[in-house]
Amino acid sequence: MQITITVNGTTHTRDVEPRTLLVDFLRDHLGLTGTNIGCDTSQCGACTIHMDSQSVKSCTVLAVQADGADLTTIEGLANGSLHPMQQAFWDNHGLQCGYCTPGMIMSATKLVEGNPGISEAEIRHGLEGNICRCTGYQNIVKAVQQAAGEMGGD
Amino acid sequence: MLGKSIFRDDAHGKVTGSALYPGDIEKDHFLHAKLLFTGQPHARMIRMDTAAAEAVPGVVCILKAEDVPVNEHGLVMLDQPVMVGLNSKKPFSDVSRWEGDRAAMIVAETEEAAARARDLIEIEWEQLPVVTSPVEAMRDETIIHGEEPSNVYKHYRIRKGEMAAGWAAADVIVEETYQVPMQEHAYLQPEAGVSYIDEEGRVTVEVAGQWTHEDQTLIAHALDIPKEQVRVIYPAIGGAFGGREDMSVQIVLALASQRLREMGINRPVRIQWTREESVIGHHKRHAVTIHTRWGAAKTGELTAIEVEMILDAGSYNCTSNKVLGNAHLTVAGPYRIPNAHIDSYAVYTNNCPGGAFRGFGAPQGCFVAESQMNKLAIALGIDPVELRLKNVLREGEASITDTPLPAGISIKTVIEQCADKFEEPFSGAQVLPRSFQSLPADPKALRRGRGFACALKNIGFSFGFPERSEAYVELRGRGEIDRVVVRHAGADVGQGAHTAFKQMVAEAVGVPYEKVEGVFSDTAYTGDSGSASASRLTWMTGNAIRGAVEKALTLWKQEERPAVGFFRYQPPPTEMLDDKTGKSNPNITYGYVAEAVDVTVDIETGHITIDRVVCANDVGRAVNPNLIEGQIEGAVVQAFGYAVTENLQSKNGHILNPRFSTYLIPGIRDVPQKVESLIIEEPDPQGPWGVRGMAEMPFIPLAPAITAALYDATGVWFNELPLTPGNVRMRLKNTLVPDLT
Amino acid sequence: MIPGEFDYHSPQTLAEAISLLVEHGDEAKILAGGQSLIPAMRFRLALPGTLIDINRIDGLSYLREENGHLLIGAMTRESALEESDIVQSKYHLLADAAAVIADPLVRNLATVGGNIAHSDPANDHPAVMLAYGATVMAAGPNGTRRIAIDDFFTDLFENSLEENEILTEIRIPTPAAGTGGAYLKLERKVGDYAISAAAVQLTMSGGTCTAARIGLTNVSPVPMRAKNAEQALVGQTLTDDVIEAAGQAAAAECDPSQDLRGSVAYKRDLTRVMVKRTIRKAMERAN
Repeated sequence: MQITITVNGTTHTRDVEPRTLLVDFLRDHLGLTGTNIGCDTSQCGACTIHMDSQSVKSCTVLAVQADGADLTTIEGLANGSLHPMQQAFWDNHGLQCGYCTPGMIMSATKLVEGNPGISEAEIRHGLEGNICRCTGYQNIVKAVQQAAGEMGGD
Repeated sequence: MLGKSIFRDDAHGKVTGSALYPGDIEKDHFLHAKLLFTGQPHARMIRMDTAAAEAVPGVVCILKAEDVPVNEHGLVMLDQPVMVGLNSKKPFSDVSRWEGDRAAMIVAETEEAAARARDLIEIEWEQLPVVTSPVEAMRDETIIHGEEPSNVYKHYRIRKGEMAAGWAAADVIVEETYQVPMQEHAYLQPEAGVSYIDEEGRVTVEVAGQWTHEDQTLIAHALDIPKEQVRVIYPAIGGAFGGREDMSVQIVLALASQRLREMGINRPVRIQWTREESVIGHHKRHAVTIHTRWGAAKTGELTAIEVEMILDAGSYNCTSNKVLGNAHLTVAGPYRIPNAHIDSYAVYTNNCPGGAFRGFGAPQGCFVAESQMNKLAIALGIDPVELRLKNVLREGEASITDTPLPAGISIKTVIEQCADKFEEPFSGAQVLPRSFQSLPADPKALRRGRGFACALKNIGFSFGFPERSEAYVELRGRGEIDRVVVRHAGADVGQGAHTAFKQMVAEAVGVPYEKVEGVFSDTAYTGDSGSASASRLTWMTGNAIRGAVEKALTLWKQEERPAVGFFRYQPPPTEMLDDKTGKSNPNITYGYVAEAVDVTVDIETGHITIDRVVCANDVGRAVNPNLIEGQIEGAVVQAFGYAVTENLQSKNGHILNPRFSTYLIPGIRDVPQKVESLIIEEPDPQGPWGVRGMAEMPFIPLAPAITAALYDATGVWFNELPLTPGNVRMRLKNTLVPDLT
Repeated sequence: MIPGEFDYHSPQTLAEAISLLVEHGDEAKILAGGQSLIPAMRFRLALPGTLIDINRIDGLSYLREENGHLLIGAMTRESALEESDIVQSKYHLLADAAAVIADPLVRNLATVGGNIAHSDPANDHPAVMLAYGATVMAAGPNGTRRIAIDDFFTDLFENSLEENEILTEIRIPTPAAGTGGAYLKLERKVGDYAISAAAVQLTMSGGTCTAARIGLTNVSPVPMRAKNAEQALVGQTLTDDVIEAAGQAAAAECDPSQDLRGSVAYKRDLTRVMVKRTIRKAMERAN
């Protein structure tokens, strides 16, 4: 069936099978491979994107459900220069292999909206759905705290 | 340039999503491949019918065992068929010994057609007895590898001193049995890759691995073509931890491209595994059972140890014989032991093969050594830190192999510094006494305890392996050096190796970091680096880079432009253990680490939280401190998963929890709330600029430090992992802790 | 891994959705938040021929108090419970549960109605609603009917909704004075299903427990109330001995199975502990 989805500000109309997962639509139909797939059970969060301004795991949404929706993926976050959250992950070594990073950053940007002084406990609670196998999370917490301050609640 | 926390080069791609992992690579006119696993832990193939599968529209070819020119591979022993099936030239290839053995590779126009064809392949099996217990396997009632006389295919010994004298001198003896489980690497990027014929006619595979040139060698061997006709390239790698050392999709992808060329089809092939395929289809950290006795004099000196260790190698060797060797040596810890009798066995079973995983046998060995030391400390009434300091090896003293450890032994320093750091008050909490004694009992169910452990781990390959690392350094410019290009194969699996390489090049040449460029991980342009494993990469590469830079600078002074230096670094040779006594110089050098932990246990539920970890890790010279801290924090959390949450279960040779919904790797709220890294820099005399390998070490002592803390908190020892709530609670309950109802 | 093939419908009205259900019968599945259903479809554990997506029907997502009840629209996202002042201030048991269901990303899409209609004893809401004595509203071709939560769960993944009915609303009685509730869950890893969890709603009067309802999570094939444990409390002063007796009653009446989360003996023992702790927390809140 035909769907129309806005991704990173560009509107795409495509024919998809109803069973197409949103993450596969982004990766295979639109070539946006920054959104990663790490599991099949909705655990890892590597596929996290923003759908109508909330964070969701795009492996657990059908593309047809997103018909008419406004999506942002990791590719749409930078606006000329890096988004403060992207810069903070870089500056704080908040990544190693980088496979979880796009999902982690997408979760984190939503999480800190309106909360520039976000606490470590709030960050940990908010990032429960994103798994990292490399870093031990400590530098991720630091990165999110730095970016939250810089974003000033935006 | 050394000692600076340069921001890693690859981060831009990783934070913007532009980094390409193997599953992200886009090529025109891709074909898609699927692998059929046998699903049979032990069975002989009688018949295989691919007619229905071949008739599926879109199927291009189906590759079977008979299509593999040389149907064997393996990092150390060629004991593993590329595919199990009929009519293979390799004897015994018709036997599936592992549920993850491959039976067919299907290449089709779409992923879906490949999957449908896979479902239509019919195979008839003759079931063979499935052997899952190594102890049972040792009886050799069922032989798993038909060409071998026994399932016990490796036996190492240590015979040192006089055991009778050792036991006679012991005032205290601790005798225990330990059992440690398998662990899954769970790197976040499941196996994937693409293959094609490159512009020079080479079979080219782009894949995530740990050693390009070994992949190249094994592909060439199986395809029976010269190595020069195979090219291996690593794009971004989504974690490895030892789990990408063995062949996953490398050989089958190359085989598919070779077949397509024969068919006159010039199209690339891609494959992408699911998480479940990843967990079922690659090796694990070994499950090991160890029975041991340790004796010590009243004064604390160790007098004798006796060990019997049985390592479940699973269905194929992978690197098990080497892992066994490491566990065999690290089971004695970093201690002076005058009398020792150790027997270690690697045994084939029909379980998932064991292989490389961060620590490579040391976590298993160290769990035993450190648990024994902590128990002896209690039995002797000696502080566990003091007891270690009394017994640690010093320069020139005979280690367990009856030879001294290489110069630069820093175990004493890491122990002292870790203990000192741990005594500092934290978060305003009370200062605890040095002795790691129990805290006052909490009136409710929460109990707190502290624990300590230390470890050593070899750097580089052991036991006579011809270690080497090759680097090219090219100096460009006219009067001054404008640009430096380093070419090296070493895999950046996420640790930041390429950033560290460039820092070392900048240091050696004496130019700013920005002037250095890297060409990495492509066999077409680089020499053999050896593997990104064994905490060896920075150490070996640094030595190779220093040699190459020296040569390049000599040429530069001779006015050569560009000046290209090539150097093959070869460390001093090592030796295999003596068959009868184990006497040898098995390793090039070592790294040293100590950890202390604060643990809270809920004695009514069995749930554990780690409140604080202090890790003192001697890195020799910190090339990039932030990258090093990242390795320490990540290793500690992975070790926490090993010790507490991860719990790989298998039954009759089938893994029961191959998904992230059932195999639980730690999340951000599960992990230790605070990991404090203490980077110690006691130079390794052989290391470049004094560098030591470090990335495995922080994994190793965590589990025994946690069990020591649990004892401190509850008075109960835990000899088995993982420490899941159910395991902890039931052991506490069954051990009759007085106030438990 | 992608789901098997299916026909997809996204009706705009409840009536349309019901007529699609009538038309497709047991071939059809309702897609609410999809956070359990889509993974199940990816593993082909669920193979619906027709998927009826009710996300585009207006008016199924709300939280409001009316006539002594909290009304929760079936499509209310779990995250809305966490953000709701009414829930956080007055419905502590529900608020406790909302914070421990899966993870925040899943909670952004997962729905309260879906959690209950899935009727998985491992899910958290069934025990919560049993403890509240909630009412489920079901809409079908013949109109809407009420189902008492005690009559709702009938078997593993089974409930008393008819094939052509849709769960539209859950009604929770507003806690009376002296009433307190709590939900405590033990997980192997944050975000996992419970090893065991207890939902307790108590009414206290002058130091005596006058009413008690207890629901248990993931220790029985069907979501269950711990009725013997409730009886051990009602009419009693809640001394340590009484609470222990309730815990032991729950341990005896639950029916867990051995799995990766633990042995039967452990789960029974843990249920005792969880029930006791949850009673204590509910008591504190009742006072």
